[in-house]
Amino acid sequence: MRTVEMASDTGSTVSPILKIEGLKKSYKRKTILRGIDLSLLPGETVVLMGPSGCGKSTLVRCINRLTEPDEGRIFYEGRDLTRLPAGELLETRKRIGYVFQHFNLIRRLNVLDNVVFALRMQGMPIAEAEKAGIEALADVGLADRTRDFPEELSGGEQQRVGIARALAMEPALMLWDEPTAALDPILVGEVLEVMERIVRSGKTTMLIVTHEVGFARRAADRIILLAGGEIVEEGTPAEVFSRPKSEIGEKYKKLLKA
Amino acid sequence: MLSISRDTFLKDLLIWFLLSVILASLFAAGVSEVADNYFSQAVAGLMGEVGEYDLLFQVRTDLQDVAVSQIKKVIKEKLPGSIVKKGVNVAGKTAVFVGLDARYRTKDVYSDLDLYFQDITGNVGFTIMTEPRLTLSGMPGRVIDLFIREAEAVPGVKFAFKDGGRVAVLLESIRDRERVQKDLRRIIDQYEILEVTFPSGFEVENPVEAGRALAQLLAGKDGISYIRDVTAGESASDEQALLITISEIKRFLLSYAGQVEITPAAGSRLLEGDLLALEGRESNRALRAGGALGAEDVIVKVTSDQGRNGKKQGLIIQGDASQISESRAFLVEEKNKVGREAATVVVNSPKDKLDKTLTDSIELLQRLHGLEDISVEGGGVFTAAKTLQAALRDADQLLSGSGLSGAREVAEFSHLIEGIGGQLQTMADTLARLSYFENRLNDAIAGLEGAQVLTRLGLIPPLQGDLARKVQVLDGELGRLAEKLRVRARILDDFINDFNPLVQTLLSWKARSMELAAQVDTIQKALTGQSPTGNVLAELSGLTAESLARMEELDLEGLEKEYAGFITGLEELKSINAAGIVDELKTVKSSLPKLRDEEIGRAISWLDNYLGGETRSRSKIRLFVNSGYRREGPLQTVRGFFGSNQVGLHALPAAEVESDVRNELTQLLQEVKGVIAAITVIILGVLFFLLDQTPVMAVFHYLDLVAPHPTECRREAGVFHDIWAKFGLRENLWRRLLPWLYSLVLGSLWSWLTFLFSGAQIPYVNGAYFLFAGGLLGLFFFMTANRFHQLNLDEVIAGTSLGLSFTVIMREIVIPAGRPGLLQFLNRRKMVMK
Repeated sequence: MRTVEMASDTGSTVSPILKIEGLKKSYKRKTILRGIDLSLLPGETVVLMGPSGCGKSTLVRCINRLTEPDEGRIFYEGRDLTRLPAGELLETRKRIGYVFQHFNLIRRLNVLDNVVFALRMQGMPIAEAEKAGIEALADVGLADRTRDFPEELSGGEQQRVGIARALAMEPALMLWDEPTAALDPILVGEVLEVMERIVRSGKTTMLIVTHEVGFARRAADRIILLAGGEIVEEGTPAEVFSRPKSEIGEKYKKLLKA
Repeated sequence: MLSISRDTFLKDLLIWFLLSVILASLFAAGVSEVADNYFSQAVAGLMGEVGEYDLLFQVRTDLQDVAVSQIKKVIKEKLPGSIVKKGVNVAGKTAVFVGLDARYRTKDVYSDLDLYFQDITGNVGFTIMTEPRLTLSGMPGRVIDLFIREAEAVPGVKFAFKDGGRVAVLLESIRDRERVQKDLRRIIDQYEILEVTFPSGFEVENPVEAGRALAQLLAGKDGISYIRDVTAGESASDEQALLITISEIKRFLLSYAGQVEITPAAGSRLLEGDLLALEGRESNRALRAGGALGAEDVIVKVTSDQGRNGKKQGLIIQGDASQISESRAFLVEEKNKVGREAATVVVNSPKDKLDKTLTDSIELLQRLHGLEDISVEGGGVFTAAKTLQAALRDADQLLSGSGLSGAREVAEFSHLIEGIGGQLQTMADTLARLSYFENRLNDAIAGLEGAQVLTRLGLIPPLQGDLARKVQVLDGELGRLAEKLRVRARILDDFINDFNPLVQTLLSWKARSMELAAQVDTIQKALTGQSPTGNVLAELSGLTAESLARMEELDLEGLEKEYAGFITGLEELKSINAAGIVDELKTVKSSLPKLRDEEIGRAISWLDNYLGGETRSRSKIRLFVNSGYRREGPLQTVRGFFGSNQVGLHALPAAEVESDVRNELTQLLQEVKGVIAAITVIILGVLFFLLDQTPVMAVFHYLDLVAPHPTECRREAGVFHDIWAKFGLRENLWRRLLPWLYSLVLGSLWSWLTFLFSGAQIPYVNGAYFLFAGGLLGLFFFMTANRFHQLNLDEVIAGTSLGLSFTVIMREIVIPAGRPGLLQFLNRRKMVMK
């Protein structure tokens, strides 16, 4: 298995936790991703931004192969995910948390069971799993709602359960697929707050797809702008929003000023 | 196999499969068994227990009380000890059961049952349902007796009798059923029905006659030792008999009707169906082109082109042949207008000829006793001949002796001549009367022969029973009488021929003698006392001597003896019952249809219309033969007989063995049971697939999501990859086909096995059909799975993203979200998050 290394800011060589090379994806005749190259260092928070339909969600889904890429390679912790057999892929997925736009909670399970579901499936004893679940729910401010069912929660609360479900797995990498897109503006804040808190904790590497410019400027180590299935600009929030090089970067700059 | 042995969802599916097949089979079998029990009890309620009842009457419900009381009355009188039970009412009919007392379960009683119960009010009919019984059916009506005889020779058979068009075989014991059935089949196998079939357009004028002729032709050839023509006796069908009768009536009417031969006029073209008008005898105005057609005119329809030299045949459809006054025929145009003169016709009316011949024959036979006068007449001839002979001798003596020397001698001679003249006239008259008798005898012979020909050719309509027998007797009597009369006529003819020349000679002698005698008388008056001239006397003497010599030549004694024999023969004629024959001929004549030609013509048209579509079905010839003959031989003979290689010959079973009503019902119930099981299997199949398999199949539409695999280009190694590569299949294709194969195989196997285990049965549908239909069912549910099961893809994706295996996703997410069913029930054992 090929491994990938890259230089850190301190000059020491650090292996990226995620490295994507030449990723391409098409649906029928429409090309979504046109050869994406991307790396994430451990603990880094990278925000993916771009107009709707530019391929942000597809890119995130390809990373844990919820969507099969057509070409390219995806290295996670140095192993090429595109070549992993099913069993190993499942093991790898357990270490990659995923937060969905539409929460994707299991309706028949209550809040706590949704959070501990994956832990229990891994064979973790109930008590241990529930303890970890309650802690994760506490992190998202829902420790008192463990016995409620998804339909009893608001959208923001459901999304926080989804975040807790991902956190409970203690993932090394968390993928966020527009976590606030399905929420009304009033509820967006509570989710962003949780997200910022997690970012600041620095427990995990995060790749976040969002349209929340303010959140991106505050939380991101790096911002990547995607347009037409390609990365058009990449840099720190200050670089991208202050001195944008791309048309889309200019638009975000204006949006931020407004 | 590894995944099956492990605790995987595939193993869950396998367990589900086995359990569902077992449960569905048991349930379907149970339902069908319950239905079978229900129907069996219903049948027992309807028909009683085995052997309880023997007759089942269907009587009108509104007359049931009267019918039952009459049935009871008959039983009391004829079958005391038997029981009657009223059954259910269905569709306006009430079933009435009769259980015969054991002593009446005999062949004689069963043969007379129709007579016993023929006058039951409101009785629609009755069925014999005595058990245990087997029935032979499908045999031609003419061989029913043969099968009855052979069936009764089978051990275990109580007796057999004709039950409608079938043979009912009553058994001694129910235990004999199988063995007797085998024996009856063996009997049936000894015979076959050979059916002669004809190609389209091939018509047999008279299949019945052809069948008889063919049977005679085939008998004794190619191993056919037993043959009976059963063309007309097929299943004793009334309809068939009617068709044959109608066909025969048509044939008779055609030969009886006025046959019109039409000669088209020059330049005139006649087509089949054209109508021609002929002037009727009773018509008061002559036919002319442009005029109106009268009711008294005769109309002929052109029927065919089969005449010779452009001539055509026609049929009189208005009027009668006897009414035609002239032969010119005019075309009939629209609105009964007379058209141009189109033909001349010649009418031949067998009907009139037949009538005339019979009339003549009757008249002549009635006069037969008048022949007795012949003996008297004949005697008169002989007396006259002898008298003449004596007178001639006297005249000869007178002339050769003293001669006519004086007036007295001349007067005496003249007196002799007058006497001879009188005798001669008597003799000539008698001979003329004899000649008349002779002519009448010859007429009688011709008439009798004509009548005989008519009876033989069948021109007299087919007669039934006693009349038919009388016609046969009459035919023989006519033959004998004609022969005897022929002999008598010949003798009489000889007799007359013998006398006629003599009479002529004597008449000329008389005339000449009278003439000469007159001359002698004149001379004597002129020359008184003088003798007549020598020349006249010499001629007179010569003529007399010659006539006498001719007279002497006639052997009167011999003729008299011969005539006596003739008279004796005439006496013998009296022994013939001429009066009886006359009566029979009168009967035949009166039995002839009193039909005018137009009525015959219309009847033939009507018969044609009726027979129209029926002739094909009746143009089959059926022969009942022994089996084991050489197959090819009869076919060649039959084809040779009809002169066509297109004629076919098919061997059919001679009969069939059927069980009794109860057995048939039992078999029917078995079929119903099988069908109910099959329907239950189908319903359960739909339910099981709907409840349990639609979630699974819905997930199979997202196989790449729940069971991801590296794309082929990235695959490093893999056992299956190599295997599929060997067959030239790409793994992607295999994965794409897998859900289809799963659905197809699962549906097929499930249906087939359940069908098999449940005892399901659908007539004409075997297990293979269920294999096929099950496969289609499986594919249908795969294709429509998402309509029947709304898969929550978000939950599945969530499970996938959490790194859950296919088994866990199915057990924890998909199946619990589905409809309650066996799979969900089984799945609960495996669930962690209950």
